[in-house]
Amino acid sequence: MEIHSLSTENFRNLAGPPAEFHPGLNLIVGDNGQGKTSLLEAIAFLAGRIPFRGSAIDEVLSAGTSAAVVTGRRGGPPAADRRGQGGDVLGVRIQDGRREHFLNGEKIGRLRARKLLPSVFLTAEDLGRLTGPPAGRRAALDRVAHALEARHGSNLKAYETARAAKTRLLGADPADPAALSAFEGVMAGAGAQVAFARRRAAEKLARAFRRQADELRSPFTDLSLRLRSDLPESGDEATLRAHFQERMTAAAPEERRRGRCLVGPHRDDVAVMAGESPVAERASSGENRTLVLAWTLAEADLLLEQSDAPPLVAFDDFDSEWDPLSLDRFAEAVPAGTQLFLTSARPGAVRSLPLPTGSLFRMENGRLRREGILGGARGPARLLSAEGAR
Amino acid sequence: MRLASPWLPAFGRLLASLERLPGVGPKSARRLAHHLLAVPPPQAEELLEAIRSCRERTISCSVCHALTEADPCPICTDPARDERLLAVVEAPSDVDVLERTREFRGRYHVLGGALSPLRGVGPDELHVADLVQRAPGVEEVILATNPNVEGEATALYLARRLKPLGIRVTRLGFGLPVGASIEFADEVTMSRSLAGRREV
Ligand SMILES: [Zn+2]
Repeated sequence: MEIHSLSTENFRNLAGPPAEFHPGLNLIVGDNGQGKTSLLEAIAFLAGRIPFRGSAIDEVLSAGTSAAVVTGRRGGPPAADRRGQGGDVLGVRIQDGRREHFLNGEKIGRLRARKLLPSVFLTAEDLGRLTGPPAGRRAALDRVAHALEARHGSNLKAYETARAAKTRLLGADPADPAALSAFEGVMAGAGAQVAFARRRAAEKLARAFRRQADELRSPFTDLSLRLRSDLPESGDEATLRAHFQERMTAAAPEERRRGRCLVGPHRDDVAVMAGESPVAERASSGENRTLVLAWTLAEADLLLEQSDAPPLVAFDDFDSEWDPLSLDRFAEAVPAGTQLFLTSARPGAVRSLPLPTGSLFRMENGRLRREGILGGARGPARLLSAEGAR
Repeated sequence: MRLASPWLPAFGRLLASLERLPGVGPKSARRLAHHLLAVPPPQAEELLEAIRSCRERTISCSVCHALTEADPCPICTDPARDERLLAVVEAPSDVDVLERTREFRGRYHVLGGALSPLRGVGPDELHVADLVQRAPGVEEVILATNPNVEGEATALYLARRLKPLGIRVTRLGFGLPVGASIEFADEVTMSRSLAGRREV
């Protein structure tokens, strides 16, 4: 899926006229702090994704403003597009800590926005996905679960609401056993659905991940991606629910003592294994990052399965922390027809990579300027013409 | 952010009151306030009188806690309504939703909310104790709380309290999305959930 143009109002430091993007590669160069990441973040908002850097939604508003808007034109024939026609207009309005999505002016849900603009992002925070806290890995798994099961988001929200209620009850003295068991019942119901969707997602993700890790020639053999959970590895919703209920009953005295929920999907993690042992501690940081690339490509594969066009792939600061060899292979592995956004602090960044034809942009002070065409049709990209300075 | 003119304090006060109403934002509050100033005096007086008399005469039924002008309410005293069948709802407005279906022939019990530990609402803050008191003589309780976390938990809680008393406890078979409220259900959906109720 492609986005042809993008305009923003009051979104971080972004300014200037609407940007027109290339359906292939869009390389955005610029010094740090000029707005490269913000541009990708604006696209992420449009695509119904969570904000980068774990920030609160309102943090994307420019200083002194109360609402931000991002609009972009998606799909449609490129020829018509150049005359300003064709395709749909997607929009997102950010205000009072909330987001509202629009399609051609009509309000749509966030899930719909995600389906309309399937996308995969790699940013600085993904560098530590394998070694960092489980929340990042859970979020990556949940993105796949969302794509496979439309109700995953509301189930997850219901589970977390019930868990917050139960936690409060655990802290009460004396705890009301009937009310506790009522909220546990809701947790078990929603939690079993979350658990089931995650198992399905993990299974598909594991297969795609292994394939992509081989593509990127990871030195590890017998790689797998495994869901670590308090609940059984497989089983239907009813089985998972019964197990979960049992586990909560068993943990009850300890939960009462510590005032926290000690079992359930909120503790899920995803482990990357080589054979029977986790890879993260054994791998060099470069090897770990190659596996993150493989994971990301696997996510893109699964999104492609769910849609008729490859997802948009955006890769922030792609050449600074990732090793050149896996970048080469990453570039080769990106499916044909993918719209790619790469940002870099170095203008010569893509010269040796096998990338599709595209546009070169410079980001300065929140303003995006097209500087030239990149050529190559999946041969090594070369700067064919330079319209701007340099 | 309000543009109320400082030389019109009474107008500002009306705006502030209107803005506190559900579903009324600053823009519609302004439109309503201007409208109320522009209508002929009897029409404005009629609204004032309607609010005053409604607040004076509408009370909560001492048996089922639904809204009524006579206590007990007409539903509680109607001999044609089946006293062995009880629908438990969260809010008085939910009674209207079920009544509109014209299919429910039992009586009601309004809880006055749903369990919500985060908002400090426990069983003692709801009309749970007198629901249990009404239990003798009731054969089936239909739990018609909202299909969201608090409503589901409240239903599970009540089932746990009522089943040991030998009552058949059922839950609406919702065609509503999770997280919704029955307040917005149309008659067809509501009739269907009523017909599709399942034993808890
Ligand atoms: Zn009554």
